[in-house]
Amino acid sequence: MGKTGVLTVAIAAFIVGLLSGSFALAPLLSANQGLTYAYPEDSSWRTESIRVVGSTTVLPIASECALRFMELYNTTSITVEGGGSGRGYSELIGGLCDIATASRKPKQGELDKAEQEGVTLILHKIAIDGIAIIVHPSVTQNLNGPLNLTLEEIGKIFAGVYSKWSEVREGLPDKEILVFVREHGSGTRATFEEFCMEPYGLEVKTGASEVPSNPAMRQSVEQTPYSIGYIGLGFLSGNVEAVCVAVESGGPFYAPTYENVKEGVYPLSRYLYMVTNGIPESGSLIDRFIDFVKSPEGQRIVERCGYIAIYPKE
Amino acid sequence: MRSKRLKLLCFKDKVEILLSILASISIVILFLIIIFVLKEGFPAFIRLGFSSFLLGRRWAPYYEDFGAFPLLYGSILIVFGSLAISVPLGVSTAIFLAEYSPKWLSDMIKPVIELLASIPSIIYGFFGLTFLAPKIMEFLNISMGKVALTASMVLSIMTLPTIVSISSEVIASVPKEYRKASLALGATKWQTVKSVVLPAAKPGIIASLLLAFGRAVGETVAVLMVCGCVPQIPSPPWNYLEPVHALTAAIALDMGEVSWGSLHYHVLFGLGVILLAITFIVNMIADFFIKKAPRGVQI
Repeated sequence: MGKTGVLTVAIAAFIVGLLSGSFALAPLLSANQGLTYAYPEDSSWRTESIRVVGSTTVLPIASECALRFMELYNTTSITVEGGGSGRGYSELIGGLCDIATASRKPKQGELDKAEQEGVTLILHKIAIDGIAIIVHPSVTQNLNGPLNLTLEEIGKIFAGVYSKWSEVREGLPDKEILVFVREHGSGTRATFEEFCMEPYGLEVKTGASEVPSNPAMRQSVEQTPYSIGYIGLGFLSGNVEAVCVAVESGGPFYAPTYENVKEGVYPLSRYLYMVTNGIPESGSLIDRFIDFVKSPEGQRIVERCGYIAIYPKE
Repeated sequence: MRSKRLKLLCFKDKVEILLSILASISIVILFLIIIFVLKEGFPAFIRLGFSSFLLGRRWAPYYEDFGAFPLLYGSILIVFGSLAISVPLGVSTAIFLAEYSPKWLSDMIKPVIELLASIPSIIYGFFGLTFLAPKIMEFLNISMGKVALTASMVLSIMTLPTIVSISSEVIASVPKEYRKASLALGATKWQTVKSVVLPAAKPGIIASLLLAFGRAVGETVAVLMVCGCVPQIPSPPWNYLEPVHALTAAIALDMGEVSWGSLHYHVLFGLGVILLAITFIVNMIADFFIKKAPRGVQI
């Protein structure tokens, strides 16, 4: 027996070990079944595999739900990827994924492309997210309470109409405002522009620094004194101050809290979607998975990720 | 001539056939990639117009404004900054290693410097983002740490191994006779290095700088993390204390979310074409210098 012989034996032993290991685990995993409502045993969706791609905002929900779903039905396979709402739409239209996740509605260009390819985009609402405007603590250091801004004031800050904080409000530091924005395809950016920039005919100034994700946004604002940025509510934490927002000057100003977004009084909020090509075939894995996300258990995951559930959790 | 041609066509054995097939695969792949990038990038140049794409001053993809000049300028600014740091450092390290240091010391230093080349670029990015940027902000008392200078400093560390290892090899390969002849004429060690060894090794050293330039201009992740991603031309234009944006960073930032087949998609490939053109030209020049090296000096 030469070197190759030894190697073959080793590989064979490894494979046998793996197989026996997975057989031993199988009863443990299937024991979890039946915790939620059970589906008929004979359906073919149990062996299907799907790919979910899109928004980084929806990513935590999608991956947590996929993990739980695969724990319950261990023969299914769900791959979840981020990349942004734009990527989700384009991959769904290109037939590269089964479900796109999105934090915005499709743009006109994407609708045109879908029509051209014969794809019907069906949007399934799965949760609500708020966008928090965040500033570095150095901005609010001289204020007694939180910083109150109207949507228009926020727009003017991002457009560069105000270049120093002291121009926005008396009592704010006499320092230059540093602006962070998200990259062009971001759903968070689209919603922000829809509420704060477009209604007032404003455009983000050239001097704004682009960051590629929600965590990067939080980190950038945290690290940079006198800076401002925006972030999905689920990512709001750490050493940043959230701005209280009002539609019109004079108030009322609302803080970006779950309660305020849920009641619909906080102005900067949006639906999060899972998007499919046509209405998913009943009994397919795509259908089952979206059902699961809307189910009480899925909606509890939504809340745990820091978003607002829209279906009953009981 | 005839026998040579025959030799080209007749393979000696199966191994030779296999090897030549495998070798041609990599060349074919290279050409396919270039053709693909050109094909996808070309519509951007046509639809925007060559000069308004290349020289346009505003890069704002969200508002469909695609002027690549701030990106091009940012890339060049960062790369020249990095070379300004890494060239004096790298070349003097190479001279020290090849001429002055005892063998045991250069045997210790060389692997360490080569190790720098094997560190993944994201690690450099992390280092720049979490350590260098805050320190620069604090030390220079500027409002934001992610500026052109930070990117240049990170890149200079990344390009150092290329310059040091190639340059020291080239300097070491200058024939001993050159040195002996110079010393025999009564020149000191430094005079020999300055007037005999370095001129002989000059083409090789320049080639190493150009290769470092190519590496720096193509570097993506680390630059994306520390350059600040502001598509502006600093005022004044040589101000290294302002954030900039780079060609590679813009592609990486937007590629994930661009809708396929849109103008923006083609524009990103157009940036790729510009990048490809820069590295291609620089590598050609490097090749020219490598060929120019005097007899006996190996690169």
